[in-house]
Amino acid sequence: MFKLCTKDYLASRWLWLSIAVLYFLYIFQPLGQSLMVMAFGAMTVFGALSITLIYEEQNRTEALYASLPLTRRQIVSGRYVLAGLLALAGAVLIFGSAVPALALLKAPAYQSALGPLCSIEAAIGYLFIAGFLVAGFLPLYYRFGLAKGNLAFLSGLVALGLGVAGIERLASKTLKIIPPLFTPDFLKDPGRGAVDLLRSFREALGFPLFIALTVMILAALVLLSLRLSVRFYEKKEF
Amino acid sequence: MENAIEIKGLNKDYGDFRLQDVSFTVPRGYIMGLIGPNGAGKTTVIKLILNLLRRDGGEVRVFGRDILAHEVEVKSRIGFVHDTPFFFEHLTLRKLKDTVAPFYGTWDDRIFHRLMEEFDLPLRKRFSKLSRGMKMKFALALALSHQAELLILDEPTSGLDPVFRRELLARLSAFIQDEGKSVLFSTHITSDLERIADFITFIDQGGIVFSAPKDEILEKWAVIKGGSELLAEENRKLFRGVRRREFSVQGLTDDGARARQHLGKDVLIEKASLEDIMFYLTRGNGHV
Repeated sequence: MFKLCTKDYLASRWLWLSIAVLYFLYIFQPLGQSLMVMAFGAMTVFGALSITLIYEEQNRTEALYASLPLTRRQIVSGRYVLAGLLALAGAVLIFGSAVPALALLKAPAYQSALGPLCSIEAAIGYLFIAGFLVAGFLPLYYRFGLAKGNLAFLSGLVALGLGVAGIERLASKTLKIIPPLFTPDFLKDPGRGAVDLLRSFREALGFPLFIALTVMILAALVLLSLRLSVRFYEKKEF
Repeated sequence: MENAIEIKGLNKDYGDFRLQDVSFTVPRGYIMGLIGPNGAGKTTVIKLILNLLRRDGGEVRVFGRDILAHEVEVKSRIGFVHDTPFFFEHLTLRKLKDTVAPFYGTWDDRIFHRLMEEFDLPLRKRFSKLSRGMKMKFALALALSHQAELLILDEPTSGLDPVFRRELLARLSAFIQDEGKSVLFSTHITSDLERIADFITFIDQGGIVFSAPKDEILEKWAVIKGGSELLAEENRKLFRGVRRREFSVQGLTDDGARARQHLGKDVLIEKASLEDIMFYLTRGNGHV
């Protein structure tokens, strides 16, 4: 499977590097908002993976690599391994650059944008979101192809966002069974708000349970996603 | 010795096109030519052998093993060239080789570099800068560099100049000199196969018309030329296809000896080429 990752690396490496450079330039803008940095950070993985898929589709190389001594399951699993490696590389880029940048840039706009990133909750949140994006997108890609898969995925994200907001409103305002999550404080800097929310979960559950729960949810998501992707790809004809 | 390829009762239904009950065998150590007009189902058969399409029925065995059950093992012994070679266009040939070679345990870099030199392909050149002929040569170099026991080539000569076509055919002849190596070669340029094929499988409208040794085909099949009396009721069963002109008739028979005996010296009987056979069997029923 690492051979498949090497193939993707050779095909996409310069554009992956461009994404890394873009991110690096981006965090040196006085944004003030940590959410933008976090969103851009999470999108580095998704963007890098998309570039690989776009190259593959543009060059119509799928049939070539499907003709090599590989099963469909191995090809799909290779993509998941690649996504995992990209997520780790993204983590190194994001958190590796946030710490020195924070030390160098003392202006409040930088401190408020990059500050929330320098926490264990942000790192866990990043890996969870990266995993969630990949796990949600790849089955749709293997089922519908790149263009329709992307559309379905983005529609799903919008529906999910609206659903979460609706449930939060119903539970906090109508049923009054939980306190409001999206308070004015949260909405002032949603990135910091999300990190604080994760911190409150960690404190309530305790660190080992919090980590175990996160890993379990993520593993279940990825395994389900992998199973679906393999099923769809095994039906694909070239 | 086991066959290189055994196909039995292969079916594939696309809705508007059906591959029906396709069966043939490629013995080890021989070149099998797969011929047929465009859209006959040649590429579909090849894609089914490589498991690029899902079959609806039948069996595909390569080296005696089912392709679905032993996909990795079987594919590692196959070299393939698709009709249009698609690679990452922006990569150099060296980098492209690096994306393919690791998947073959038997990859031999010395063979690859020798072939690149023989084919005059610069390793530093980007794939997008190659002509169609050079792209085909590169695909062939990849297919030959892992000591494949079976080469599957889908229309490798279409759109190529005669010089490269001859070079490719010579290369294929050299390939099967090593005993036990086999080639399945699909094309509609039948003259290529007359030069090198040992067996011919003719496919039309998704079905096998015949699959037999080439020499036997060229020996038995014949083109008969004569007047309109050729179409007399008692002669009709001799013909597999007929073309009528204003004052003459030409027809194809699959039993030249019988036709000679039956029609005597009043008609001209010539050996049929593969192109004649393909033409009459697919188009040979009307006026010119």
